[in-house]
Amino acid sequence: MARISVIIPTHNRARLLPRAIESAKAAGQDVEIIVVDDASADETPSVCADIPDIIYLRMQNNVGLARARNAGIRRSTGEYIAFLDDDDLRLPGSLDLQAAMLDQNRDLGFVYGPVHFGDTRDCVPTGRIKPEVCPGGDIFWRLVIDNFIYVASVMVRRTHMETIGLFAEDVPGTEDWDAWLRLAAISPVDALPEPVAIYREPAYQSEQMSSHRPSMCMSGVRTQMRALRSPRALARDQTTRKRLELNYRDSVWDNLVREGYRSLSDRQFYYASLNFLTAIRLHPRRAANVGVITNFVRSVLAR
Amino acid sequence: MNAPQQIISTTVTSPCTKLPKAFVCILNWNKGDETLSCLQSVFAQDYRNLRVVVVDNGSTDGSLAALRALGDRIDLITHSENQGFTGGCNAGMRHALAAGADYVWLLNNDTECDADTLSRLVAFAEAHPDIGMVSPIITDRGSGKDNYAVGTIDLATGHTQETADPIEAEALQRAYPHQIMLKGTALLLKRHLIDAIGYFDDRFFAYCEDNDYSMRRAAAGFRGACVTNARVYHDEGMPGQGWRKPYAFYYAARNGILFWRKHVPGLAGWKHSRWHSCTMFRVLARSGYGKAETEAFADGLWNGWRGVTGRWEPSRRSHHMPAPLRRIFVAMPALCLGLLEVNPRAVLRALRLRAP
Repeated sequence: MARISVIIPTHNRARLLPRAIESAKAAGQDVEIIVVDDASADETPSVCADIPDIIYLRMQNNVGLARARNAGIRRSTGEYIAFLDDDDLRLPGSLDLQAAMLDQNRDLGFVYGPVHFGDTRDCVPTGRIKPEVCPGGDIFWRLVIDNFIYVASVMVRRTHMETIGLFAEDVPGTEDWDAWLRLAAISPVDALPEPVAIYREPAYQSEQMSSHRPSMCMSGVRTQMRALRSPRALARDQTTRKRLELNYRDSVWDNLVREGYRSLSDRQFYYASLNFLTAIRLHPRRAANVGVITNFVRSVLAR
Repeated sequence: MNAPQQIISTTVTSPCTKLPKAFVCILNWNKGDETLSCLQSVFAQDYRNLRVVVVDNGSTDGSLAALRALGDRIDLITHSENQGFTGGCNAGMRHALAAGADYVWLLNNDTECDADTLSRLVAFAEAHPDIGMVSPIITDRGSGKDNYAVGTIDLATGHTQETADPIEAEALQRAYPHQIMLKGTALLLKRHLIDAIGYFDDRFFAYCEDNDYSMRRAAAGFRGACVTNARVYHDEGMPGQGWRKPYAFYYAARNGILFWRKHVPGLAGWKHSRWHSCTMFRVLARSGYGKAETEAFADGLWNGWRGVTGRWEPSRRSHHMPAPLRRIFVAMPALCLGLLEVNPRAVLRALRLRAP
C-alpha cells in the first residue's frame, strides 16, 4: 500500500503522458500512479503498457474528467491523493512536502500551492507564477469568489474526499472547483509558499477542454450557485451572497462576450452566437441593459 | 483524527470504504483471446474488493494453458466437458458463495467494460436493499449503439417489451417493478438473492435461463434494475453474416417453450411459448440462416414440446424432429413459421413467394 496516490486522467495525449508520469514519480517517495485512460484513440494503451509500476484503468467511452478521476480514486490505496493532468508536470519533491504538511496537522482537508505557467508546446516555465497569494485556513469565502486553485497543485486527504462523495459528475469543466468548495466548507486548508507544479497554458482553440467556453461558464455558475446554497453559505446574510453571485456572473458575462467577439472576427459564427446566447442566459439582467445592446449592434455594424 | 463535521449534499457517487466482496464470474469456452481481453478490463476495474473466477467449460483450443498462466490472479474451475452457460455459471456462483462473496457478477467473455462499471453497479445495489439483481446497459462494441437495458415479461398475458433507452428503462422499472427481466450478459447478483432462489435452472443449458432467473427473482419478491449510467460493451454481431450458430437456434426454440411451460400452466403457456419461439427465430434469422439452422430450430421445437432438456446432441436421432415433418420445415420455413404463429399475413407472404 502506497502512501500517496497520484491520479492522472488522460485523453489522446500519448506524447505528453510519459513526462507527466515521470514527474509524478520523481515528486515523492512511496507514490502509486494511477492512469485513467478516458477512451483515447491514439497509442496511449501501448505507451502505458511499456511503463512499469503504474496502474492503468481504461474507459471505453469518453466519460469526462470527473468520472475518470473518481475511478482512479476508488482504485487508489494511498492515504493522500494528488491529481495531475496528462499535460502538466509535478515538481521534484513537492508531493513529499505536501504529505508532510498533512501529516503535521491532522485537521487539514487538503494542501495546495502555486504553480508555474508553462508554455503551450513543451510546458517549459515562462516565469509566471499563479496564484500570487495562497491563503490558508478557512478559505471557503475566498473560494466562492472564483477558483484560484490549480488541480495539479492539490493533495487531499482520502477520508475527506470520501466524505464529500468524490467529484461531482454533473459540472463538467469545474468539477475541481466544486470539490475544493465542498472540502473547504468542512475543513481548513493550507498552502505551500513555493511552486509545486507546472501548468501548461491552454492554447487558444487547442484540444484542451477549457477551450469550450460556454459549457465551462454554465458549469461555473452552477457550481457557485450550489456552493452559495450550501448550509455553510446560508448561514451568512443574503446581501453578501447576492453580491458574490452577481460579481461572478459579471465576470462570466465579460468572459463570454470577449470570446464571442474573438470568434466573430475568426468568422466562427456558430461558436460566437453560442457564446452570446449563453451570456444572455446566464446574466439576463445585464443583457437587458440598453447600453449593452447598442454597443453590440454598433460593433457588428463596424465589422 | 477529527471527523469532518458537516456533509454537503452532492450527486450520488459510490462509497469507497467498507466495500462488499464481489466476485466476477467469467465463462470460457474455446474463445481464449476474447476471455483474456475481457479479463484485462476486469483487472482494470476501480473496485478494490474484487476476485475473479473463471470457469473453463471443457475448452479444446489451448485457452486453458493461457488461463493457467495467470496464476493466482484468478480462481480457475475446469470442467472436463461443456456444461453449458447454466452449469458453468452455477459452478462459478457456488465457488464465489463458498468464498464469502456478497456479490457475484456474471460477465460474458466477449465483453469489455469501463473502469467504474462494477463500482456503479454495486453502489446502486447497496443503495436499494429490495433489489436482487442489477445490470448495466448493454452496448454493441462494434457500432457503439445501446442494445439492451431492460425488458419486461408479463406472465399473465404473455406480453413482453424491451428497451435500450435509459429514460424508457427507468419508466419501465417504475411501472412494472415485478416484471423486469435482465439479460445475463453482465448480471450482478446479490448473495441474498442466490440464497433465496438458488442457482440457474440446469435444464436450460444456455439461452432463456436469464428469463427464468428473472421471473424466479420476481416471484421471490426481489426487484431487478438496470443501472443506466453504467455500460458494458458486448459483441452483438453484425446482421446478415451468419454468425449465429445452429445451436443458438436449437436452444432458442426449445428454451422458449421450456420457459413458458415452466411459468405458465395450461394452454396459455403453450400459446405464449409458440409465439416466443417464432419471435426468437425471426430475431436470430437476421444474421442469416441455412439448412442446418432451420433443422436445429425444428429439432428445438420438437424437443421443447416433448420436454427434452439439457445439452443438445445434434447427431442423436432420438433428438430429431420426425423426418417427414422436418423435411417440410426445412423446405418451407417461412410458411411453417407463419402457420405456427397463426399469422395469416406471414402465411400469405410465404405462399406468394412460392407461387411464380
